[in-house]
Amino acid sequence: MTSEALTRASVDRKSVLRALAVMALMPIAVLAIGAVLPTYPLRILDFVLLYAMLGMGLNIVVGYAGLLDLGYVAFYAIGAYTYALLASPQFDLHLPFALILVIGSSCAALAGVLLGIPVLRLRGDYLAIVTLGFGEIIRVLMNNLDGLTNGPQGIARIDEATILGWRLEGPLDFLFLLVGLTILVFLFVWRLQESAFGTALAAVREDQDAARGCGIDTTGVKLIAFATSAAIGGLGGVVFAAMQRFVSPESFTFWESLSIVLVVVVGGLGNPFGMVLGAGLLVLMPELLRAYADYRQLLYGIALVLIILARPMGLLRREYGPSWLARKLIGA
Amino acid sequence: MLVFDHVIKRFGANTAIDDVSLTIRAGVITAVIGPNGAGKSTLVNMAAGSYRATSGRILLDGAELQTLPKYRIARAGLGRTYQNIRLFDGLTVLQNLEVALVPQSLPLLIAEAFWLAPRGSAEARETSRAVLARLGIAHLADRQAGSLAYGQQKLVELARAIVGRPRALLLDEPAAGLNHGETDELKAHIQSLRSPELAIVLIEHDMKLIMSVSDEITVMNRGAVLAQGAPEAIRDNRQVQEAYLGQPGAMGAIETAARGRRNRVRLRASEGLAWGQS
Amino acid sequence: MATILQQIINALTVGSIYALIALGYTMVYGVLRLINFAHSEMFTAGAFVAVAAAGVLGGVAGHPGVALLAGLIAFVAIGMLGISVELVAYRPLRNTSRLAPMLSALGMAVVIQNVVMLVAGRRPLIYPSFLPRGVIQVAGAIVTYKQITILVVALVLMVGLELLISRTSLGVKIRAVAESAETASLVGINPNLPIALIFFVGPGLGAVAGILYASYYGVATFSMGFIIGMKAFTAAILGGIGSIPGAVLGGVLLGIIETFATAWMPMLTHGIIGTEYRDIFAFSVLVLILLFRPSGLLGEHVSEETMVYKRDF
Repeated sequence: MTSEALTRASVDRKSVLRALAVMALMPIAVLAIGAVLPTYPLRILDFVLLYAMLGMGLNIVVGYAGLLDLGYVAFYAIGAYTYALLASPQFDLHLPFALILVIGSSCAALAGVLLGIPVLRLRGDYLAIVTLGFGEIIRVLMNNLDGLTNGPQGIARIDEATILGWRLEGPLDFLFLLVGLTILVFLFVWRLQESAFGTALAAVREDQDAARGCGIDTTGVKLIAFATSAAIGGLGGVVFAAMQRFVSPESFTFWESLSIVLVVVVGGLGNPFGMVLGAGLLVLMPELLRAYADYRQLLYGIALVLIILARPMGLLRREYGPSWLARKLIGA
Repeated sequence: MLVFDHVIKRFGANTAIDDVSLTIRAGVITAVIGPNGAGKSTLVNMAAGSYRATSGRILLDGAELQTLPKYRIARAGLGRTYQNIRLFDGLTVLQNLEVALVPQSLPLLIAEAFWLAPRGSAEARETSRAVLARLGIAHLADRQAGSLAYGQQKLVELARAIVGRPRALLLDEPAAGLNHGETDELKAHIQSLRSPELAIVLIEHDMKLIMSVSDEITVMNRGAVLAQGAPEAIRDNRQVQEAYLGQPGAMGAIETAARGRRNRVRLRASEGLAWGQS
Repeated sequence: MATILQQIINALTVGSIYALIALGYTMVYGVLRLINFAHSEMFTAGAFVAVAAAGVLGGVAGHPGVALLAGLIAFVAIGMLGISVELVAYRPLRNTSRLAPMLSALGMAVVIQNVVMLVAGRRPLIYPSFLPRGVIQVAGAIVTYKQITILVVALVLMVGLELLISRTSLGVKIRAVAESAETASLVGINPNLPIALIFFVGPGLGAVAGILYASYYGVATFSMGFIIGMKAFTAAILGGIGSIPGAVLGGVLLGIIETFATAWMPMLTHGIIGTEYRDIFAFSVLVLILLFRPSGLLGEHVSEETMVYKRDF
């Protein structure tokens, strides 16, 4: 819809520029805030962006394709361990960060395809369980393949990330990286939604059988969705490993998968803005609930149930996504 | 041309289609009628790929459909509407049509997403708008499909079925639930679809519609073809009359009876395809 | 020979517990097409409620009457919990999407698990045995009274359930609603009553399973539900989710697979795959069935149409 509006001759250049300027405001604001924050809140901001990115990735499968993936953490873990294995004392390999971003997301995408081929023809609820099982299997493998992954001890002293000489040392450096990556992922996901592929995906979500009747190769479409979603998960994993400089199976439990699902479902299914909102809530809530340490999970559970009951599709509606905002800003 | 060649379909002990051989020619409208349970929908569903025949072949312009998965059958040129409307409720009317025009090869689909392939989307939109205009519903293009009135939804489904320029069109009770005015409008649209490149199959219970729109009628009963021919011949055929209600002169009664019964909820397993699957 | 017999007894014991829990999953799925993630916590909660009840009644040691009564109280209490959860967290979401009730179930699982944790503490609880002590020898294998009791209790409950489903009018209604809720309501059956019953009996059975499990292994933790629940769910899928005999068959089979795999794997693979992989056997079984035979052994007849749909690759 937006591309249509943009190509119509009557749209004037000034309003497009104005729209772009407004849109650019958000990331600039984030960077500005980040520059003045003390370390701890800055790290939290980093994690908000990381989870927003992961949420956008999972959203492709859950929000756009309408499939329930409960094992997303597997791709996250694959990305993280890829970096850990290729840039640490573990095998004494020290590949550059940027390269591993590509390798990590590719490995995750490959895993997504391999998992998807047998699994995507299952009915929704069965799919949920298999993906859950897959996530757990990856974690157990990470935990037990001591020779490869160092088992429960994890891999420490992971290399610092460097991009063309720029050393990413502190949370502020990572903020820049994450803002950049999140914008890229956001644009990617937005474009996906607007393209013909996005239309196909929406049809699959609405009524798979009717979609087939219209000539859509539903399994192929779902596979691509799965693979791109996994790639983004892997991307996030690489960044995570570079940030923490330590990975262990403990970071990749079902709870983690569930958290990312929450980012998507609470934030707003199918709405990339919702991912940012969801990530914000997800990361900030535990911080705010810190005083209630033991009650944290309980409150989580209650909040989840309440939000699902109140807004089963999430807080931000699907219709009020980037396309809607762009249209509003252009005044079309 | 759509050809059913000695098609047999059994569901367990029940023979739903009993050695049916049928040729649906292009350029004409062929109606398939028969009492409930005659196997009309089963036949159509098999052509569309929802079931596999127990034996026999189904050919579209010479190409065997039975070996193809459902989406390839659609791409081969088979368009259909459903007894129970199956629109993409959450999408707009325009988007519903665009679905049928999505690039077919996966690499092309991916390439288009990254602007590496020509922007097919614009053409798809134009084609869709044109089809909507042809059916008189262009003004509904941006409305959400799920929010439309029943009659309008039926037209959207028809639009969606033809936007891909199919070579065979299967219409499964398109007039179900429509009032007189809407049925007349539908009749006009179906007649306008006649084309030498399109074979149209019309399943209906509305006898008036059938009689006025069909070039050929095939009557089925209990999974077999009972009679075939021009509308007048069928109407006067005693066997057909007996099959419908067990007595001559029954056609008039059928007409009256058919008008009142509109079931949107299908509960039988053999027709359960229309809903409940996911 | 004796070892094999021993292993069989072990397998059946653990299998019966899986079966009891699996019944809860299968009944709810059969009627609502919902995977009740909260069910695993019913298992945990049951164990804890029973021990609390026993405490109030004066302790369980040597008092079979107390054990029985505490068990009954737990059954009813968790049954009521089950009904409440359905009312509050699932019913309002019945017509929204497949996703929403599942997430609500997950949320409830978290809530229940944490309530148990807050009340009973994080540390594992040494569980008093509700089951009689002592052993007997059968053909060279040692069979404990605990195991026999578990098998008997499980059997009695399963037979009871089968009678309920097949002989009572309520059971007929349940089966009707499981087939097609819409048709059932057309015939005048209010689905809410059969559904409430399922959410009473299912969790109740899970609670009993919890008691048996905790008594057998002598310890109970607030988090024990997750893994066991996963396994029981696997059992339900293995047997064919939606099928009650399937749940029983699946539970027993899973017990056998798990017990024998854990016993033999180290031998077969010369120690490469050791006993710590025990838990993945269940997951692997799960993944394998879902890939190759999703309908399970006794599952809903995957009709022709669905077959074609699935082969549509």
